[in-house]
Amino acid sequence: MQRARLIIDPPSTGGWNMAVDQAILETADETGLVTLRFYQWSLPTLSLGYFQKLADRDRHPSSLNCPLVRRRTGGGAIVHDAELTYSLCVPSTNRWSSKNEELYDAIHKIIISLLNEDGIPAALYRDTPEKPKIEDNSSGLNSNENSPWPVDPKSFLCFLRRSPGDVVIKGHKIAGSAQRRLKKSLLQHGSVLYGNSIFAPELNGINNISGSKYTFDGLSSRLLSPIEDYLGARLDRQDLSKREKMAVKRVQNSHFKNPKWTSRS
Amino acid sequence: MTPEELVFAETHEWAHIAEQDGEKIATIGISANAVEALTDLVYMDLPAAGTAVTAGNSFGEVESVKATSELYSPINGEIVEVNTALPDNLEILNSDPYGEGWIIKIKVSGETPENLMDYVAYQKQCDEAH
Repeated sequence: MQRARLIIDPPSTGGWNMAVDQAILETADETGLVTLRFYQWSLPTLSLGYFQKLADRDRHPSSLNCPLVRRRTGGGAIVHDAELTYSLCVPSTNRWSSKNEELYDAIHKIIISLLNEDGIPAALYRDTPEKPKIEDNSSGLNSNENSPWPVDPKSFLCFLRRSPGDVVIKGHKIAGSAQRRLKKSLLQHGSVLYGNSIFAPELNGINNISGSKYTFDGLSSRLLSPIEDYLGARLDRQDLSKREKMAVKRVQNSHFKNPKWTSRS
Repeated sequence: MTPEELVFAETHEWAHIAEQDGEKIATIGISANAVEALTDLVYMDLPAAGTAVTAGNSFGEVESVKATSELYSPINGEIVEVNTALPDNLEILNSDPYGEGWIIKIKVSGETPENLMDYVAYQKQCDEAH
């Protein structure tokens, strides 16, 4: 069986977290090393999508006091609080290939299987038979308070947008992912909301929708085996290499802790 | 321009090199194959004129609905012109990838890299990838 690397990081800052993902991606582009990483945030943090405007942050008052970081991946803003964050770096010989999108489905279906085993009706958004409208209360959810809809593709928050491959429970998006593709590798990172955040009160996590008690440790440990099966590789727990640690410092200074990078538009 | 008049990088960018006022100017874009794969393109980030570029290194980024991808320069030189209208009209990449969909123009420095392919060789690479 092939070997791949597993990194489970303690909670850290947004700048450090994003720089680690970038360093891992650069390594993967050179060496083809497969790395799965689970990580957390030392403070509830707002991450902006690569192309989002900094000024748009004002559209979301609840998260204004959160530390800010800009991702290298696209999509909407994410309030990283009660969530499992993951990144997965794999080789990819063609960054334009639609085959890269299979990775979204693979990871999201693993998350869905785990939740379905526990009796939680999670599904891919595209497999949701009915897309409720704002006035539709047939799901039993209160559409006025904590409503998962309407779904606005231009919403500031990623979790108020919907893509066909997102994971939803009763209309609530609880997991989404994005990719960054280089010449020979790609990084997919994503968030699984297991709880609510006072910094994004319009969103609901798995626990609040289903009455369950998922945690970072519980979710990450249960995801490992099916991801190993998907990769066809055994995941060995390791740390960053010395070279990657140097790259983390470099990338933090040049990008993720750099106000010019954060305020770019 | 027709694709037969262009050279292609392994990373799916194209270049058209022509003499202009005594300088070699390369017009750069991305291939129709790449554009076809880029469903639901939403943003493009381009550098400013005057930026130096190196063959094989990134000069910009493009975002489709779920991925951001680097754009790589096939040529060494300095950017002398940027298609600034393109990011707001990304549909041009679909309708005219080898014409109005050009992305940047580069004043070429040094020799053209030897690893660039003609259209036949590039198409072969694309066919083999499927």
